[in-house]
Amino acid sequence: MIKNLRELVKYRELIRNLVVRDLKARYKSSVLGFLWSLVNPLLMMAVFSVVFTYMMPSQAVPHFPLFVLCGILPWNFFTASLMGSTNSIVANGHLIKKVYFAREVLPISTVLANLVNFMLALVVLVPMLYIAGIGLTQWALLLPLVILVQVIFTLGLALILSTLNVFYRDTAMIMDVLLLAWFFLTPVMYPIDILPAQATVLGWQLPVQRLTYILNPMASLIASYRSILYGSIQGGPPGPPAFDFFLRTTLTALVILALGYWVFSRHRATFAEEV
Amino acid sequence: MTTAIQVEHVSKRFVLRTDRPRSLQELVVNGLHRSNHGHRQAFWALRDVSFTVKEGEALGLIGENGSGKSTMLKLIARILEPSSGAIATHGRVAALLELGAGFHPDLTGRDNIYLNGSILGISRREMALKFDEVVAFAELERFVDVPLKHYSSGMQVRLGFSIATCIDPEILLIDEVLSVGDEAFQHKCLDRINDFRAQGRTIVFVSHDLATVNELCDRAIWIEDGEVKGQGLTRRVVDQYLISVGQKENLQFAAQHEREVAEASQAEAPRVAAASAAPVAAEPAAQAAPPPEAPAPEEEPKHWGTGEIQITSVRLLGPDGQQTYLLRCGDPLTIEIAYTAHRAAEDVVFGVGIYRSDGLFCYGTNTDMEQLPISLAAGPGKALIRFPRFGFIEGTYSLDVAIHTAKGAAYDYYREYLTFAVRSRWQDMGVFRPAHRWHIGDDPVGHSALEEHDPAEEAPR
Repeated sequence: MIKNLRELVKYRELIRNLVVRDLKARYKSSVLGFLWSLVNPLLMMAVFSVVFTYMMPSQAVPHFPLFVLCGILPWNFFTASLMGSTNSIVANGHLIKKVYFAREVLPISTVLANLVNFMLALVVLVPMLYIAGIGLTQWALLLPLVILVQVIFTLGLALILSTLNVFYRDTAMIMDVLLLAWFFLTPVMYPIDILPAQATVLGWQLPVQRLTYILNPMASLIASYRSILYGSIQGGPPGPPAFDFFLRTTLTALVILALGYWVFSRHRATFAEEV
Repeated sequence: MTTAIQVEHVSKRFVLRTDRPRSLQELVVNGLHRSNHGHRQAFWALRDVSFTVKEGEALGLIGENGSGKSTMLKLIARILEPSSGAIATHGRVAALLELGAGFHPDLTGRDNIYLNGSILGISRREMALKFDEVVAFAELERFVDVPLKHYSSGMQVRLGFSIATCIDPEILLIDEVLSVGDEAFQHKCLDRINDFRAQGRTIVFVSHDLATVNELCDRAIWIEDGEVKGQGLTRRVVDQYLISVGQKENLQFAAQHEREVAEASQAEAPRVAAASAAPVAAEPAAQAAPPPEAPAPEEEPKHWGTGEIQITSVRLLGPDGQQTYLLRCGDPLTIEIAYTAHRAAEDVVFGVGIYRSDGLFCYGTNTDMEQLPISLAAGPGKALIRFPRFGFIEGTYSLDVAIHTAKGAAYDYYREYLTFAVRSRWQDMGVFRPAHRWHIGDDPVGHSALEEHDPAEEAPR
């Protein structure tokens, strides 16, 4: 494992080049080019503004479009990374079969390319926060930390899913549905506070809100983004994330990454035969 | 000299899972039964292979398709991992298994050079130093900033080769990549590989092109069915390999011939029966060459004649007098034509014709041309034509055999009665290799076709 990690460091330049390839290829022969990474969240914002101001006005949450955007940008980063990396080994089968390189480079570079996109989108978010009168507070300095935890968590899943997809191609298919379900289970479009504290499911008393936080690292991550950028839904200014949950999520993310790397390392030797 | 590559008792097992569950659904359905059925079929691509390659040595891996030689190369390149055994390499390895791995069509040549380089483990700084050289070698100076999708496939291959070989690998693994690109570029590639050799780098070369292996490699390993069948000096191993391939081909040609004979005899049965029942009545019809049974009008018939004299079998006999379908250039050859005459005949001509696989008529003769009047009594018999030295160059040939009248009316005529191959140690060209020997000054030099096969050469001594 240590040997693999050392080798991965050797291939850092390849990761860089693959990220650049991904980004360049994505915007090649489009007129706006990389500006799309900026325009995309702007347009999303416009759509949300129209929908949630005129079609489904929401009085409960102030600046609802912004509230949604703070959740949906990290969520899109998450799903795009997972979808891309799930396929990354299989899609590059011709490379795997013909060239030796550290295989984990493929899912890693997919996640990182999406990270770059996410960062560009965040750049657009900032002026909108100012327009809404929220602005940036000192809590925004925690943003790199939250992003780092999300990247760790995403990478761990990406390593597991890309391995699984080599052996069972249905992984990519089922991810569509799973991510949709996950989307609704995660408070992206709604505040977590609207979840009932207690609910009776099949005769069991379940603390739904708490369970969501505990079982769903994405819920905790998106809640953290919201607290440090958007504030509270009562209109309060941005504040610290819920630290106990955030700490737990960090630990979960690290465990998932370690697990993912272990799974990947165990199977990477057979990739060339299986893809 | 130190060891560059050490392969110790390496085996590689692939699991062929023909109906192995590829989806979760199948997994669930089959999951319970899996242990009961032998879905997994082990296939040993390599078995207990050991060899070492010394630094600066050029090693050729030869063998048929599927023999495991490419697997061996992939194991050395670390693309695959051995099921057992160990492989150690000392020095930077460059594997030319695929040229232009990871090229992206939307990126420019420049971007792709850096990208492909980093896939091959070349750092950006290193590549920047070599950049101009890479572009110049690929002859793509004008197109560096054009997206790759506008390159021809030849240009892409050139670029791929140029990148792969611009670094100075200590060990170069090459798998058949030279078979791409145009002739001129192939020569350039070979030159570059020869340069590597001259610089004392280690090369492992997998190829079907035995001539190139011969030229390039000091030593060769012949792998068959995953096992090392021979290793040593290239020339000797290549010869061993050729002999074995020859024996196999011999068997194949024999099987093919038997099949054809079986098919033909089924198709011909009614006509031959009719011909032998009324041999005299059939004679006037003999002038019309194509038989009425000709399978399709546009297709040239392969067999015709009145059948009054029938060819019952034709065999090629090698130097040892045994039937063969594979000859070595310069070996003696006998063609044996067995026939049955259904009546006595005075005006009989035996003939043979030899065609190369591309249809070139190489040689033909018959007893009439050689002014040998032949008359046959009724009954079976054999006609032989002996070549003390059959000097056709390497290739595949087919044999026509005929018995006809002096005027050309066929008693029995077979086109492509059988197919045979000639193997040669030399890569000479043309059709025929006349016996010869080189003399530089007054001294005879080199090999000669006469050395081995022609007893006439030995007689004067």
